[in-house]
Amino acid sequence: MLVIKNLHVSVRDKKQDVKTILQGINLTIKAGEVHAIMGPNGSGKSTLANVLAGREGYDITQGEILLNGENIIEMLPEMRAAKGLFLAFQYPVEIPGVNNMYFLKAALNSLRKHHDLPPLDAMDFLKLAKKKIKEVGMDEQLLSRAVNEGFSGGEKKRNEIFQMLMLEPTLAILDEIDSGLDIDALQKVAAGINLLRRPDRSIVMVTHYQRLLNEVVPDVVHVMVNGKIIKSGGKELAFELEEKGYGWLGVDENIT
Amino acid sequence: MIQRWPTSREEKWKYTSLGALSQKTFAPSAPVALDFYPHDWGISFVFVNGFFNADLSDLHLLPKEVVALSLSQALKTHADLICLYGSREFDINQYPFAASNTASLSDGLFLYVPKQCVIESPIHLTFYSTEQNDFMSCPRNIIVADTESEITLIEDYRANFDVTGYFTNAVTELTTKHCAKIHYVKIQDEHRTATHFSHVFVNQSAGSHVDTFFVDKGASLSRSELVVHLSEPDAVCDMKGLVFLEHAGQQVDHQVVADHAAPGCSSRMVYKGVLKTQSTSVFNGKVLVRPIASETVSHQESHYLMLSPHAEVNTQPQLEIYADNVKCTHGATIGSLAQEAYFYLRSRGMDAADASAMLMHAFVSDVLSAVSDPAMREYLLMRIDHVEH
Ligand SMILES: Nc1ncnc2c1ncn2[C@@H]1O[C@H](COP(=O)(O)OP(=O)(O)OP(=O)(O)O)[C@@H](O)[C@H]1O
Ligand SMILES: [Mg+2]
Repeated sequence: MLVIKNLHVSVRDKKQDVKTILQGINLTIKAGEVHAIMGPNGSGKSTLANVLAGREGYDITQGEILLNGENIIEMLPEMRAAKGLFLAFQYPVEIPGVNNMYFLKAALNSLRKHHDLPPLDAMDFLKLAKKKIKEVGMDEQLLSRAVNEGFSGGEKKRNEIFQMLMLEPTLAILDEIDSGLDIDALQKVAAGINLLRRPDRSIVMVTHYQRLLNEVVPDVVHVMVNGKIIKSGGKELAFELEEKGYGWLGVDENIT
Repeated sequence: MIQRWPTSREEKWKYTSLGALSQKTFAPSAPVALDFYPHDWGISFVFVNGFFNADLSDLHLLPKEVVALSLSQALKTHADLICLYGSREFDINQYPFAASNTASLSDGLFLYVPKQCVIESPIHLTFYSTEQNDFMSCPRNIIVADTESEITLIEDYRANFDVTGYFTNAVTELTTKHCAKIHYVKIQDEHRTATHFSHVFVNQSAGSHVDTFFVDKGASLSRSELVVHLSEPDAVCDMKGLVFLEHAGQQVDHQVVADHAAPGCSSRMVYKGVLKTQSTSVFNGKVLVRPIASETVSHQESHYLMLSPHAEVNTQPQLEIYADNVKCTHGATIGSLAQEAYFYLRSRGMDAADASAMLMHAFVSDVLSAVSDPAMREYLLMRIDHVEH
């Protein structure tokens, strides 16, 4: 599904100084697998997620990103979405003036167009939306509001999962989808993610906590520190991290 | 035909150069025979190259007591009313183009709405240009809403695709008597090689209400002067404008004046624009509060979105306040597309064009949703999205 080879990414700050964030990421995710990426604040997890989704403003100085064998480094974000990639944002964007339902219908129909499917009409779309919104336990009224505008932290996260279920990606990258959720919401969101799981779909979850991983059990857990994956293991690794922090891996916990 | 060309040394003309235009010569417009014009809705008056065409118009929804005539006709039969409401002499120094409109008048609408007459259907004036190139037409509309009457008026400029280089120089005078209401919409969707100049003079009596909504998307050079006289107490004027520029080299210039000459009036200007390419937009909003106009409330704001690094926006609030106890606020922003939102939409599969169109709609959505009549809102949206040329 996804192969990342020796990925180096840097940014320029306001003073035009170059700052290298990712320093040689290697990662292979097979179809049907669920991977978790953990690691201290500022280690580069969101940068990796954004680069995968095609956000501008990053310099990819070395390496390759292969999605189903195709190098996507030069690909536009909308093309990546059409190829099945989905990013749930750590900080979902508020878009005043754009109706949530209208937005999602346009998005879904763009993807359908790519796959030579006819657009869904308003009725069919609404039916589908109502079904999926129940699955994440999101308030239906949020559909008629502007995209994420004034949504609570938890509502924004549920909206991301709702979009994911509507768009049915084959590779979902979920950046801290569990942060800011209450206990019930976490259950719902986890259930939503499990609904997406299929042998032909893969999921990458960036998280700081074991809680989510109890609900959505990962096949592989990676630890990212300073722009590198320094350790990978099974789901037990997450327990170890929860217990011991990052210190035992030879990492100074104050580096960020 | 233009007796005096203003220069960029004049404050009002600082950002609009007339050099190229003043070198051109324009033929007078001639009436053109046209068999068919599709009319959108309501009560429809169609003018072709500036001249009223009765056959293409549809007046069957017009109440009998209303006086609605082409100006050329009205000058013969209702000279007294015209003298009363439309006899303004325009100072050639202050309004050189309005003065030359008077001098080279083509035709237009004279509309008198009697007391307490409320017309539900919108009155749609279409000024359609076709067949002739490089001509000048000077439409003049005189609209009077008598005491407690109410109308919705659309003044609409459009053109056939094959007509180029013409010049529209229009003047519209709106008068609202005591507690009357006019909802006025102006759509400027001229051919993109055209020049469009217009003046809208509003004169409001006590307790009257006028709202204006300008949409500008056509012409290579378009300039509108909207001058509102709040001449008696408690009149309200709500002015809105949307500018959409997609063709390189386009320029739209809005000069808006709210002249508060009586106490307790309120005026509000909200103008927004989207510049997709190398194009220029000017917004000059002036609020004049005369010494007598205490308890004036006025607000002015302009917001422009520039999608091209070569776009240029000039906005200039001018507040002249000579009265006490007034509340005047203003604000202006000029920005580019919110990159975060743009990426968010594209990450969900929308292509660049769809995503920016969606954000542009969002940008103007507050102005549009303030249009209270849903049918009018629909219509405006349709016209804004429609690409004619
Ligand atoms: N555009 C940018 N300009 C400058 N620095 C940046 C930029 N983007 C990211 N960084 C820096 O890169 C580092 C990695 O950021 P990133 O957001 O990827 O961390 P993270 O692992 O997701 O952290 P967290 O767990 O707190 O979300 C941080 O030090 C951050 O400040
Ligand atoms: Mg992060």
